[in-house]
Amino acid sequence: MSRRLSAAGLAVTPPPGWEATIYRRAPGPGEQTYLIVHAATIPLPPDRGDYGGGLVELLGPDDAFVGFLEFGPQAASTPLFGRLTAIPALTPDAFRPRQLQRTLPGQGGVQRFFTVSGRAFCLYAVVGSMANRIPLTYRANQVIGSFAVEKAA
Amino acid sequence: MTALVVGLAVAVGLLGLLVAGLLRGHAEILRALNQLGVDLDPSKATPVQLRPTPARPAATDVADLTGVTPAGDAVSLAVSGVEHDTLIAFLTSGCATCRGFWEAFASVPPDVPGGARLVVATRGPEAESPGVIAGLAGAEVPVVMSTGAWEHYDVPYAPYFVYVSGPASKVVGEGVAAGWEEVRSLVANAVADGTTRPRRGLHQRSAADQRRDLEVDRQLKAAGIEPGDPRLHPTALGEKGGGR
Repeated sequence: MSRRLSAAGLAVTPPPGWEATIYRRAPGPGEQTYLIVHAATIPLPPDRGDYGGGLVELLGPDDAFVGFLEFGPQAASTPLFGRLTAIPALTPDAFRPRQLQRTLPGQGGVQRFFTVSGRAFCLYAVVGSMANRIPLTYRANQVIGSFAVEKAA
Repeated sequence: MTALVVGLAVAVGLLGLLVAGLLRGHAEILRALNQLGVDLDPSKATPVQLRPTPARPAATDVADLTGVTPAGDAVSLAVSGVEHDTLIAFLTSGCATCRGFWEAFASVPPDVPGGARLVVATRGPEAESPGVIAGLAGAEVPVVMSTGAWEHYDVPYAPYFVYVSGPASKVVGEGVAAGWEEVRSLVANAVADGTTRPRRGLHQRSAADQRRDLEVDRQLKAAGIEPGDPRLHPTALGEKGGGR
């Protein structure tokens, strides 16, 4: 049974030991929501924030989290998202303790904005331990490398 | 008159053959069910056996659960090559025995001995209504709709339980049970025997622990002790207040 997931032109194949989901959060009043991909080396808890809140607090020192958040089509033409036009791979030195949405002891995070196939995304990754960021970056890149985007319908 | 008697005798003989054939077919069905581990004696619910069934060719032939949630989200849940164990409950929306499990899983977070993660797997949306499954499932247990999972684990009927050791990446037990308490008790016995050896339970605390935490928090609050109160961090035994 293949682990490949696909929905609405996004696809990801979690490597062994990872789990993943592609979903769209129910919008609040007046809000437009877009697709989100979450992948982690721990079980995905049911209540998670877009940036992994509720999950990243549970990461152990050998765990990692990768999230792709899609933004609206208007974002693709902005300088923030337009600078990178390919899915970025990560390097261990990209992770910073202060790049977390909320600072957690020992953890490190990284955020990248990019546009692929005319669709704008934020990549947000967290390693459970800065001390283990070299092997964890390798594992995160396995997920990132499996991420594929088609043009929006 | 003679012809009538002969005709009746022939008819009785044919009916006798028919009954004998039906009884034989019935016995074969019972034998086949018995070989699959089903005991139809209502006084004895057939328990989950915490060992691979002889029918499974390779206990290590485990697959992660990939499908969709009742809400339609694509999802893949890892059961092999992970540090926790997983108890997969294969349920349907239609079977009467499954109802009891749906109700047990929907009301409170189920407490699986040893900290194994409980996951419900139904057939895919082509065979089950996502709306009906969403109505049965609570928010506590993840549900994956995947016909592929049913085929991979060769699930013979529902309800059916498969216990997968995450660190060993193999099935350590599977079978059918009539109620959640039976499953729980058998898993508890297996944990006590050391049949299951998860490296760690789920990060999520058990339902019993969560209830205990809430009760402790409630009692502390009633006593006027809020989070951060220095009395929670005495620096010496016998000291009622203090800092870190």
